[in-house]
Amino acid sequence: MTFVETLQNLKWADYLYCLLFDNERLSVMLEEGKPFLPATIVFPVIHALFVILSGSVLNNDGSLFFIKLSYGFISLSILWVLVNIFVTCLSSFTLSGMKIRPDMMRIFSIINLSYFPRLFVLPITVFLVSIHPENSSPGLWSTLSSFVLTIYSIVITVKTICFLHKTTMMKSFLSVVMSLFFAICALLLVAVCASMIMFYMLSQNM
Amino acid sequence: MDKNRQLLTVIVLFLALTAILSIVRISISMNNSGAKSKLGFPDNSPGIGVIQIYGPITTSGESGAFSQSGGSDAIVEKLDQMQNDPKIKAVVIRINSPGGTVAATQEIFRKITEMRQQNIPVVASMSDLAASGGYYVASACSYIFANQGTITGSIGVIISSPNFKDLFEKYGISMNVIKSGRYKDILSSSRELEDDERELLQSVIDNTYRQFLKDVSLGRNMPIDEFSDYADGRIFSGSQALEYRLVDEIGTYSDSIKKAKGLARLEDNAPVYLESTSPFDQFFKSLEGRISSFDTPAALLNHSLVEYRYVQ
Repeated sequence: MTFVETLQNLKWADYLYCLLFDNERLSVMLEEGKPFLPATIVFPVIHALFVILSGSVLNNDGSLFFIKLSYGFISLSILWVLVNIFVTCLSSFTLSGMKIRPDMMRIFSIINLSYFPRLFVLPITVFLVSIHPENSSPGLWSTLSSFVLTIYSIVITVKTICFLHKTTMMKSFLSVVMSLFFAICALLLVAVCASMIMFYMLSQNM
Repeated sequence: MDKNRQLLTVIVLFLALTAILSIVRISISMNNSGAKSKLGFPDNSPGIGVIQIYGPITTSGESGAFSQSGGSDAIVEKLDQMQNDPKIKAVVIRINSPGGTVAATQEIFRKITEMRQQNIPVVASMSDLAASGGYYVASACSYIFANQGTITGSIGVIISSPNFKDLFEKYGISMNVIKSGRYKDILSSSRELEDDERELLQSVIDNTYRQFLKDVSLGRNMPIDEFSDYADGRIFSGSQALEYRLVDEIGTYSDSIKKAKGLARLEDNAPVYLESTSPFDQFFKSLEGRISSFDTPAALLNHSLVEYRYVQ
């Protein structure tokens, strides 16, 4: 099936509809389909682009926008995909610890798909920046909306993993939240190490 | 399911439209704010090249983990690239330097002279400071702009070294020196300078000073007699330098760009090709600047080169 045919048959729309409104049906669709849907990687990549665009809309970037759109976009996309792989591995590991046989490929697809609601951060930001009344803070509301959308993404991931593995919501919740917690810790550690290396390199060139 | 599919298609189209709108919005705000980079194809039309000479002039200069060397080698290389670049029709040299070592300064001077001989106009734009070697470089240019408050001049040569003899004696430190000739440890910081050594160094200084005068005379197309009276190391403000014909005009960096475009017979909207416009480079350079701005005591002690330098 070609890319155009895939777009025209609108099966992707069913996935997205179920992702937003019917997670149980989404888990069935995932079970019936191939274990891994490579197209789902598109969502973290588009999310990286939308985050950069919303940041630039908020900050009125100058030439820094082009750096963000090139290096920033590539780095953020790779980062999101790596974080998703990391969270998938940790979630699967946690589920195994709970004596549930994890379906890693489908968990990875779910985590990628769950980025879809977070794409709405861009329309919200554009809306807030375009019509914001005097003395309001579009940056604050944009951040808050991004936070809410992230929670919604986590809820989708938890529910779909729960339906897919036919387990309780609590176990699914624990596996996802613990993985996210460790992923955030790992990211912070990497950021601190990268900063230290950078400052070490700079001090060596004094 | 058809209705749902339509709904989702509309949502996806809405998201795509928002992305396009946001890019348009960012582009408009960039245009309004006068950001240098705009959306579009890279400019490749004839224009002006800009080179910055900031800080002391040395051969290798300072280089960082993320940036190129800023020494005379790098400056000459950049000038060479501009000389061979068919789209560069004139060059503006932005100077904010107290001068530097003799050979490094002379190499830049020679390169600029070579460019002028090839009919490439080179305009100097003096910032806060363009003294001694900074002025030496500027004098090679076709036209010199200074701000009214620019510190310039300081035509002269200097060599200095610290004398720690008394300090060494106080703490009982002595140096073991084995040398091949009597002048090999000239300017040693552990002993007084002898009269014949002083004479020898003075002859080197005088010779280098004459090279300075000769080159300024050549670059400015002005007889040495006309400026030798005040080429005694004194500094001038930009306005005073204009009176003494050491600069051609009082003007800003923008004025120098306009002048360069005029000399190259380019349109007013001709592009200006800066050395580096990357915010990454600027960020890392500023970071390195903060770290490397603290001279180490060792670096201060090793400061005994013959220099065209204004000492503050």
